[in-house]
Amino acid sequence: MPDKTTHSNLGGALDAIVITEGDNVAVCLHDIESGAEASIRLGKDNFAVTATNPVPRGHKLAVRDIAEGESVLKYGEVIGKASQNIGTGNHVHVHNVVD
Amino acid sequence: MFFGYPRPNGSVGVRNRVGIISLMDNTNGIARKITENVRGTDLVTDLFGRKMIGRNHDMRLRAIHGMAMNPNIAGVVLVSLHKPSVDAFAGPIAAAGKDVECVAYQEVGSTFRAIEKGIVAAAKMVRKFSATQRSEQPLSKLIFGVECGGSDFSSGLSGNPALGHAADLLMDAGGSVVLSETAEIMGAEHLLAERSVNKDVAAKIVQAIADMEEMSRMGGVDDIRKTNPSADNINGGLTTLAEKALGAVKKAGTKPLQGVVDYCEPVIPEPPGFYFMSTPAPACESMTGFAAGGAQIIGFNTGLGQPSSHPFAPTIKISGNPLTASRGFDDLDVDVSDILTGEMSIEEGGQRIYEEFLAVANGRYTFTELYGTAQSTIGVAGASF
Repeated sequence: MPDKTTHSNLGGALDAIVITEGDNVAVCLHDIESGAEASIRLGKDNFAVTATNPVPRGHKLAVRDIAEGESVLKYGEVIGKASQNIGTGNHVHVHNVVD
Repeated sequence: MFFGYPRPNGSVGVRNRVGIISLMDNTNGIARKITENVRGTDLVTDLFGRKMIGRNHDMRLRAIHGMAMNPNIAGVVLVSLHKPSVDAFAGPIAAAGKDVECVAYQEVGSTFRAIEKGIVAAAKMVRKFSATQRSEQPLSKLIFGVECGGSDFSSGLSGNPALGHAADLLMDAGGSVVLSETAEIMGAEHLLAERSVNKDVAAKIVQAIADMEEMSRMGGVDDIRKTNPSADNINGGLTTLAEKALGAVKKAGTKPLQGVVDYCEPVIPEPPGFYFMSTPAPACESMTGFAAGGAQIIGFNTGLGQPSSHPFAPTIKISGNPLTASRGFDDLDVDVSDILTGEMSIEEGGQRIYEEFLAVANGRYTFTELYGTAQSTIGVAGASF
């Protein structure tokens, strides 16, 4: 059982969560290094994505390619659009997303 | 189906309490002393009282009448300075079919005679309604207010999504859910408009946010949309305003928006489903809106911890943050922090919250109900967002 009182240890072995089926991003539970294989949860299933950038805790990681102009989906809704091509495993944030 | 207390006007409570409501700040102390001396009573106090004007005057009238009419409350004792102020509220409450007794300080002449009169009135009322039994009722009688406060990065990731799934489960079973805090949904109003059942509702939700932004400008706050997400939000990973707002909206589930009401207006669940009430963002003001709107139970997700509950509506406290959950084991009714370790899915977390909701509807106490620390705050227009 993960030590719940260790704030920095949030997630334990789990690296990120996809909140709603169909989302193309996952939210990271702790800092993920570039090149690391991230263990990602959707519902009750786990899958892996290799991070191609460092992604800080609380930030988003692309779980699929997102083409420039395509919608970024989180919570099953459009939260913005890709301002450039985003590859699977990329950090998704203000540098590559617009309203 | 649940077991609740039927009221003369057809509403159903999950509790059977007598409300002691002070109508003015100058009688708050007397109302508090009455509540302390009679079991089965809950206290609502007021600030600013009768000198409010315009929009705030109307909000206060709705807030007090609405809370008095909450289905959890079998009857009320109104406490105020003088006869005209108690009568102004007592008349409509009695006309709506609810027992009401009045204590007007200037009629009895002293603090202790006012306290005595209130104690006798409250005790008689509690005793009378102790005969009321729970009976089988449909879930369509229930309105669940969904709240979040003390938010952190777990709020949008574990706590709110789980609460939202519980909201969906309740609505699938015929119940209703109310979302609030207009400032928090700024950025998602067009998405809520798209989810609205008709154009009228869509227009209302967009207008609610526009009104709030206008009030903030009039209050001297620079364009609040431009400073959101804040630098802290961006450092924490929130990329767009829509994303930030959706993290809050997520706690209300995925159903179509049936209607929009103003602060402390009754939520009439016809049809049952998802409703929005325009409220200030601070938790006690928002929960007061829920209680006045007729919500019998509140579900409150907190990331960092937040002690409050509403005196008239049992408040289920939830957290999806493991540290908060482990330290707050005697405040929090549901811990969904295992979502962050993968040991619990969001759906399982939602199921847990829904089960707690049903248990509370049938009589289980929430922790904060037991501590006497509940707080009702009637919001003031233009003062807080």
